[in-house]
Amino acid sequence: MKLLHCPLNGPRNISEFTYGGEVHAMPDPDACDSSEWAEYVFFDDNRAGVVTEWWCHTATSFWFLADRNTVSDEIMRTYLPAERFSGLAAAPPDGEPSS
Amino acid sequence: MSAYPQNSLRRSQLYRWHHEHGAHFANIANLVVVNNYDSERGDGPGLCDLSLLPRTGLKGPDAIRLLQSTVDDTPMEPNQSILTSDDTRIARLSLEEFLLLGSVDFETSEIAMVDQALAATSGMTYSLPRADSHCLFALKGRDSPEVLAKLCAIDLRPGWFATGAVAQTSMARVNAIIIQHHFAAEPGFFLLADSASTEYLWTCLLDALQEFDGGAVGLDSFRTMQHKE
Amino acid sequence: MTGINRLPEPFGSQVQANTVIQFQFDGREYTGMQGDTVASALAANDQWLLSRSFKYHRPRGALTMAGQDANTLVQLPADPNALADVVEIEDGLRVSAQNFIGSLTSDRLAFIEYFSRFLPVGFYYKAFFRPRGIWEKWARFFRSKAGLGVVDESCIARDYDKQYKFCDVLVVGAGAAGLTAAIEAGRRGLNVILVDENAALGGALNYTRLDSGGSRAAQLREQLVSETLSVENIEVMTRAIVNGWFADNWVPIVRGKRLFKVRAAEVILCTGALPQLAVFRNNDLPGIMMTSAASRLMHLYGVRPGRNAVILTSNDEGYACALDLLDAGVKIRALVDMRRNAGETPLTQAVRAKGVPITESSAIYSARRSGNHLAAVEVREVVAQGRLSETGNQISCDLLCMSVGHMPAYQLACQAGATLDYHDNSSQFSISNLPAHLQIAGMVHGYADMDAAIKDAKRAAVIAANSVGNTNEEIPLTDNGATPSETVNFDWPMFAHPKGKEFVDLDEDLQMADIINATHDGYEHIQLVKRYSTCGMGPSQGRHSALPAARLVANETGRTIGETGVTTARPPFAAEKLAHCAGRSFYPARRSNMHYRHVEAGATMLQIGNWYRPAHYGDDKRTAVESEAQAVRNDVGIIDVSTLGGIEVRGPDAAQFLNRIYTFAFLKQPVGRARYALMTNEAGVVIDDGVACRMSDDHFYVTATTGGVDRVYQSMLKWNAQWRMQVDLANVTSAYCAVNIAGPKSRQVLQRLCPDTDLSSEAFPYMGVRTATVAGIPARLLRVGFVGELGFEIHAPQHAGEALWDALLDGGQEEGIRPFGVEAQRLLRLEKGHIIIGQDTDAMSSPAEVAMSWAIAARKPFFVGNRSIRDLAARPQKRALVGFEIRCSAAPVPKECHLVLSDERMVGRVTSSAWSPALQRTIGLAYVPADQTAPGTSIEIRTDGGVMVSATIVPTPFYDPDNKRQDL
Repeated sequence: MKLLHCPLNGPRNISEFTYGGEVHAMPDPDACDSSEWAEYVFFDDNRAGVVTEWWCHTATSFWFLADRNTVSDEIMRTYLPAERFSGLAAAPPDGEPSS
Repeated sequence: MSAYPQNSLRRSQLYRWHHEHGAHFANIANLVVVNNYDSERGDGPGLCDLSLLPRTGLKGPDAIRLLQSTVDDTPMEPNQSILTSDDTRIARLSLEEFLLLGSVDFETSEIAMVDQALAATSGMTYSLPRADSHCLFALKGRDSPEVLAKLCAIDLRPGWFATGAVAQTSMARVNAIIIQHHFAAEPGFFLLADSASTEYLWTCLLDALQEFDGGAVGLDSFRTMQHKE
Repeated sequence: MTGINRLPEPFGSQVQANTVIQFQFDGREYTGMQGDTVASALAANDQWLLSRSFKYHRPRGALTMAGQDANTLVQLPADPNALADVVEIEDGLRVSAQNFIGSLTSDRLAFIEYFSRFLPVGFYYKAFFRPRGIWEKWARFFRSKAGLGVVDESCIARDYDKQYKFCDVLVVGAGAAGLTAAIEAGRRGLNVILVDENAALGGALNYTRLDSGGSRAAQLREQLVSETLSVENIEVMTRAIVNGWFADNWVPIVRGKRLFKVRAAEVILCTGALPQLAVFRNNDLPGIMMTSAASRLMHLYGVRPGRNAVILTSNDEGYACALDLLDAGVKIRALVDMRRNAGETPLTQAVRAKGVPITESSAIYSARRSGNHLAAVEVREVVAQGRLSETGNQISCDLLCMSVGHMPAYQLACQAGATLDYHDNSSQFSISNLPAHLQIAGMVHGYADMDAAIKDAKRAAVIAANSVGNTNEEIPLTDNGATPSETVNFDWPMFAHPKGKEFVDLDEDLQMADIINATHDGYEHIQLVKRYSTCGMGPSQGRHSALPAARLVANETGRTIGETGVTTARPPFAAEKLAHCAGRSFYPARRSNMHYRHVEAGATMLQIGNWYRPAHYGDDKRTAVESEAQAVRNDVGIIDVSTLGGIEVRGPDAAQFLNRIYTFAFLKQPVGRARYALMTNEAGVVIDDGVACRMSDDHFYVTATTGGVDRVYQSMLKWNAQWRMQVDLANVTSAYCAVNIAGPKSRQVLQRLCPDTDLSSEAFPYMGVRTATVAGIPARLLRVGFVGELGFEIHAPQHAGEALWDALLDGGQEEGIRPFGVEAQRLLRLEKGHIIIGQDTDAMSSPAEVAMSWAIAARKPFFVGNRSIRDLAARPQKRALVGFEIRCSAAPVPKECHLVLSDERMVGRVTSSAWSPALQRTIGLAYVPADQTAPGTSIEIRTDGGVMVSATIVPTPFYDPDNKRQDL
């Protein structure tokens, strides 16, 4: 059983985690064309090499990111989503202030 | 029989089990709890249903401030816990989340103080109904880590799992929080899990205890230990 | 006396002569000693024949005495295919032989071997397709012959268990190297688990002779074992098998009835090497065994392995065995050394000094049997690789001991990703490319010399200690102690015979020609040879056949043995029982606080997901559901809905957050009101629903479906990990019990229990939310109407669930209150046309398809799924969920997933359907083509048994179409 290092809980059996898919930047849903949107919703890169993935420690519902080499299955690094997502700026605008 | 759970508003999911296994109930502050059973285990590890023990939880960016202004000590790191001078066990579950467990003599006052502070706060601190969301058991005795080794893939042996250490993990396939705690001189753990899984987990633990000649114990077992000290 | 072949002490270190044990084998009574295995006790009684081979039913006896071959498979009463050389005897044990018709000594199926030329390699495989139809003819014969042993179907596996374990260093194998590694690691303060499959520590030191005097092995063993036992932090596990290696040093250990799952920081494999077969005609006869098997019989069990022995060797082990045999009073007829020159070592000198006839540069051409046992061998001179002289000497013997080479026990290392390389100069495989935190030491590392093996183990222990403790101790070197005389493997110990029966794989009765012919049939890759010929597929999993098969295939295909390689050695290493895998298993079950009230009221409980829910009260489902539904429609009923998901959404951005997560608009939702909350995923597919209750400006209490809440909560957290809004999410599903009180008299009953809250329609309208006290219990009241009647959902602290239930039943006596179950609820909601996400939706259902477009706030700037819903709306809709009714009461009621057909083509399916007692007709929901949804359209549904039923599309709700009843 593989070990995965959770940034909150430390190394745990990978059966304690839920896989959340590859990390993709969402295109602007109001500006992109349909094929670009479909690409974002339905396709993964499935790259041979290092990909960034969502993982959730199920018992604590704690989401984090993992850089994993899909060829060797080596997990290079796990880290907090805050490192990549700075907040609503990264998401499409609401046109409304978030108070 | 004056103290019987049926007459109480708050009832442990296990009161029928306790009754069928010769429990003697007592009333502590309108909570009906098990003092002891007709026959309790000898030297083996003991499992105690603390589902009605006062406890609470809080989280949010301001949680640490609220806690610091209410209790005398707080744990520094996630997955650590401390014991306050009031005998409250405070576990830090993440940077912004805390869990408070009352002492097994049901005499903690800090839980109520924190609950009051939570009700009054206007900051970004959010209460968590830990007394209802989770069941709470105490597992105590030298063999406790071995008992849990049948249910849980975390190394809980003393030396590896320090005093007050916290593990949030899967136990018998349900999410659980395990907190190392010394019940007087006896090493052991507080175990918390989804309250709807109370009976399931109780049964799993009792089954695991068999090999070690352990079984269910009531609150008296904590009292006698204190007398021994 | 426990057998005519018993040897006096000091032979027999593992048996206790003073404890005699009675057991049965194949119907006859035998006596053995405490510590004997079935095979050793039988051997002591001169019973060498243990089994019949799988294909040709040839007589077979012990080959390794170490559980590494299929020859010793026997039947125990509750346990087929037990290894007779591993299973210890106990009083009254009844053992029988397997795979014969008639008797073990005279198997009526033994004739099959005379037909062996009609059973060429790949026979089974070919019979699948050539000639056409042949498989049907052969199948019955194959099936009756396939498989070994009999499963006792009445046997219940009890007390099998699993346990997690942790250590710094796991040492696999407790021979000299393993003991040394454990001692060195343990002394450096590491927590060590030392595992060995045998009962005694010491591995080969228990039975191998290291010196001519014969005392060194025992001394070394005594020293290493006592040191091991004196180190406190070494946990010793004997009679335990490490059955595989999985990622990050996750290692299953099977011991007795328990499976240990061990996580080790470091693993050191000291698994030794497995002795290999010499391949010649009739090399499988009882009486032919490895030298190590003969040594085990003598030293461990005190059993003389024969009277007149021949030894076939290519190394010093054969000479050491010769000295042991002489000590045991066995006559050595010949020592046949395949090497040109045996060389001068203390062991060869000692054997020569005893006058044993030694023949160098020779090998065995064939063996001859008498009855079911070895009677003689023919010795010939080796003239070239695999070729012997034309004539030779017949030597009578009843024992042939072979020591012609080893294969490192590579299985665990290769499971960890290590590779095997063949060395032509030493004629053996070596292991390289080990992953980090895994090492090999000793014989498995190629160190046959005892001193070198011990040094190698020290090296491994220091590396492990440096890694665990983050230290920098200098790593001692293993001096390369291998000298030519210690090269144990003979390069080509295989000699073809015109009449065949030179077995490469004993499990599957494969002869040299079978492997060669497989390559001629075009299967040149070793993996294909395995699958075509079945070589290595038997119980011993290629332990003895991998090396000869690799050599034969390499030779035939013109490649090197290294290029040819061996097949993948997957876990488990040894056979493990299903009971071990099942072991202690967990089936989580969730119960509401009112669970036993349902049971006491005679409810039929269903497990839905993990939750127990009352299906209906009373045994007869139909009458129970009808009367429960009637009570709700006419008076008042209560249902336990504690399983409903509950999520607290709190913080300054709570409304903004919900606005992004759900399809509806929430920014302007007033406090004290609930709104329907529909959730879609990014593909615009409906995935969950519930209600969002605004408790205060920055606090919503959102319900979710029983099965969906965990996923919904996780998905909310994932979104906010990106959005980073000021909102806190808490899954409080288990913190609240919930009861839905529904029916025209529900307000009356509830008002009685909530004297402090005005429940009137004006004060508490439909979709209102209040906090109140119900019978002294603090609660949240939601005025919602899933079942289409006036009703309230009461959400109260979990531990007060039973008290709440009691209070409601007690308080509603006058109104005739009664509990209703999930079945009645499903009927009532269907009458209202309310969909259940997951039942009436699937992985493709868009809001438009399920008539939920009203729940989309299209003008919102963003919500999850918005863009996809817009894209879907721009295309023609393919299907729609509609209501249907069947007025003919004699027609069968369709079931979920019954098909809607049009011209015999599938055009849709039923998602829900039931007989409605209130409406006196069958109603249901079904997907139909989007252009056929007009009320009055007739659809054809194929029900059970192909019976076609006509239904008519009708508008929903079926019942109370104007929704007046829930608005009371």
